[in-house]
Amino acid sequence: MKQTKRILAMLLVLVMAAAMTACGGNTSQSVASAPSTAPAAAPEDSGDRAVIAFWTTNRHDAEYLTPLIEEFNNTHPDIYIDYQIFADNYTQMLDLAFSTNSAPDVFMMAGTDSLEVQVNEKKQLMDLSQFMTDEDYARFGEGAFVEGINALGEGIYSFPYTASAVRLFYNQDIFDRVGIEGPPTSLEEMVADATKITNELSGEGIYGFAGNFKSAASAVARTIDMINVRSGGNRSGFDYTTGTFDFSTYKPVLEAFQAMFATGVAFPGCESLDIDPLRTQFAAGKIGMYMSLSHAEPGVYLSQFPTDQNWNCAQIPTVSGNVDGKQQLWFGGYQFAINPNTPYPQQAWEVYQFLHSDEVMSGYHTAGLGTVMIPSAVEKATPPEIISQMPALAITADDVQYPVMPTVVVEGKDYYTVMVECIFGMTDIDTAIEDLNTRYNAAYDKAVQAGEERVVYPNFTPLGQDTSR
Amino acid sequence: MSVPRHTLWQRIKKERVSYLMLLPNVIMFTVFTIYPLLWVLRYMFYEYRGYGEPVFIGLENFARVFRDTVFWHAVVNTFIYVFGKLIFTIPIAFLLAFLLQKNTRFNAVSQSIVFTPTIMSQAVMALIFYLLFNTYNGEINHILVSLGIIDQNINWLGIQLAMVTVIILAVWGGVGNYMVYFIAGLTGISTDVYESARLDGANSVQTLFRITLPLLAPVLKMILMLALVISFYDMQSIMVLTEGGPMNATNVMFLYIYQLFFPISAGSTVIQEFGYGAAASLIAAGIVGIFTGTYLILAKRLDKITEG
Repeated sequence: MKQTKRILAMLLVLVMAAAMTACGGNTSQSVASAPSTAPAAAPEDSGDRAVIAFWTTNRHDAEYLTPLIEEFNNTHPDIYIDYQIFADNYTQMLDLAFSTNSAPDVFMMAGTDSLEVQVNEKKQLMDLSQFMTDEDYARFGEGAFVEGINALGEGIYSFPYTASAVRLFYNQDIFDRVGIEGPPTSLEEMVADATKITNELSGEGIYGFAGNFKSAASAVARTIDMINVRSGGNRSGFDYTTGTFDFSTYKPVLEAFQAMFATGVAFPGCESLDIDPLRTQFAAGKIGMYMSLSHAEPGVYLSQFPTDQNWNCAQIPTVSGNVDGKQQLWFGGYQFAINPNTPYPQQAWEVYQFLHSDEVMSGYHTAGLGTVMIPSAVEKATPPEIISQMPALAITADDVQYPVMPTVVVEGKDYYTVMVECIFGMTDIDTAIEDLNTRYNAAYDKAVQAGEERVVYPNFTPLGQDTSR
Repeated sequence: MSVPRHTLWQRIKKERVSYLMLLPNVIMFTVFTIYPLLWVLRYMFYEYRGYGEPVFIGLENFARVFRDTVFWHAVVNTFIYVFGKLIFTIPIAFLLAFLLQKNTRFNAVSQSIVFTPTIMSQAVMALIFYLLFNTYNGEINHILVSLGIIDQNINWLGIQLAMVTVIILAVWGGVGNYMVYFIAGLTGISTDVYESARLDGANSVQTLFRITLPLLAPVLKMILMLALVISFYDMQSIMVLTEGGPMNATNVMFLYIYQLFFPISAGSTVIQEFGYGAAASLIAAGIVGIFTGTYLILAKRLDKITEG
């Protein structure tokens, strides 16, 4: 009897140990199964084929890319692209993959680290210049490779891919109902239009303006940050001419937003609104205006939240109504990179070239999946229909990649949170600006003392973008 | 006094099944608790962002925690959240346990319904609460307006009321669990005691306050202790429902610390700061430790008084 009990106990332990091993063994598989893998035939002879793992978070172009990747796999017996689309926590997942030596071969760059950190500290990006021919450089045109954005010295770490910029999206039907002739060009007009809509239509649950303030950073970056630079203000408070932080240029923008959000003009509950719930309400005809991204919104209202509202798009307003500064691109200049530790550098480069090829990217541009930044591909593409309907969606010479600015580790609340507090009337604007200037400059001074070179471009202007020293 | 080597080995051999049984837990505990703890204890003295060489900065991270207004705001929020949650959860859970303790079919079904939120994913619960409580088309506002209780939609997730909504979610999610603990405690009280009380002419209110509650005291003490510790560490549902916002109105200690390790907002430019996060987590754990320790001491003293 005692013996039987012992055997049973041993068996139990074995079963538990086996269960643990199974859990442990599954870890890498479960990471891989977290993203949705685009349907493609598995490699039949992966022993002879280089499997190139390609990670991205772009889901909107999966329908377009999947058949092209399948075709690539079918016509390249030596390479198989393992195409995986990720959703949440991609940045952490990528960092984890690099630290556990299981990083993809070709991947979408992520996170907020400077290019220098990604190349020299994290060692996550391969120098592509070793493969590039003169023809490759020529394809992208002049000014495509910018120091600190996609290049460091002679090294090239990513190619321009697509770009997006913030625009004002408005409901033409609502504008017509209250008699607003066109989208506002100045902040004063925007506040007046929003107030008019709310005053006349709030009884029907329709409000003049909305913002996705659940995430302060996401909201500020797509609203007041952009109005500030287009009005000639210091980008994220950084004055390139002196190499110091001065947030005072935000004052008129904050005052205008405060006039909408602290007074009941804006859509109720914006403090807790995410961008997608905001879009559902815009699609339902409850919001007069909001600001968001040129590459995303057309697709959103076509497939994600289809709407019969007559909506349109315009350039964002400025403080004075004039364009006094270039507008920072939401993204552009870089997208994908190659892992420097890939066992198949040549094949990864081949996949990288395929993803940026004219064949793939001209169709991408025509399909309206993004504003492609590769001139040779755009030349071959038919302009997307949506751009001819809404010309303001196009990326123009006024949308640029600002020079790299310092990353500061600031103590206390970041400027996004402080500015949202101002917008909702919780903090005095002047006091907030003074506090931000003090804390951000203290943090930057500390970084400079620790050896970081202060970024100073004495001749820089928001319109001229002169980075000579 | 050291144990002779062969004796120890013999003891291990004799109890090998027990040790084998313990092994999975020991491994898990070492990997997921001891190792991270040692990791935190090391990096709290360093400036470290997850790459490059960690820079030793002594006690600077701790000094910074004491200067960090966001952290202390989160500490205050944590206490508001914990007390707000417990002050409603414990009495409601007890009341439900008291009403549903008898073994009938109706009670069994009711218990299951009340217990259901406990086994639901907190993230799913928070998403459902967003649909119920959002300002513009939330079902709660619809109902209140249609009943004529309010004229205008209430901003449940706004700066003033977000914490209240978070507490409602926590109470709803926690009541079932504590109800089960209370039922276990109540069934442990001998029926003889109730019988004697009834013979002595005690009415139901007297029975509740003179018999049930005093005899339940040891269980209540443990339930409160558990509820306190668990509530201090709550953050998943808050993360999904409000992300700690708006404007940090619902940011609690461990959510703030989590963000220092894993920035959660899609558009966030929050910088990972492992060293600072490690120091903040030690101070947060200290706060929880001091508070629960004080509670235990007070509870023991109270026992002595009631026993005396």
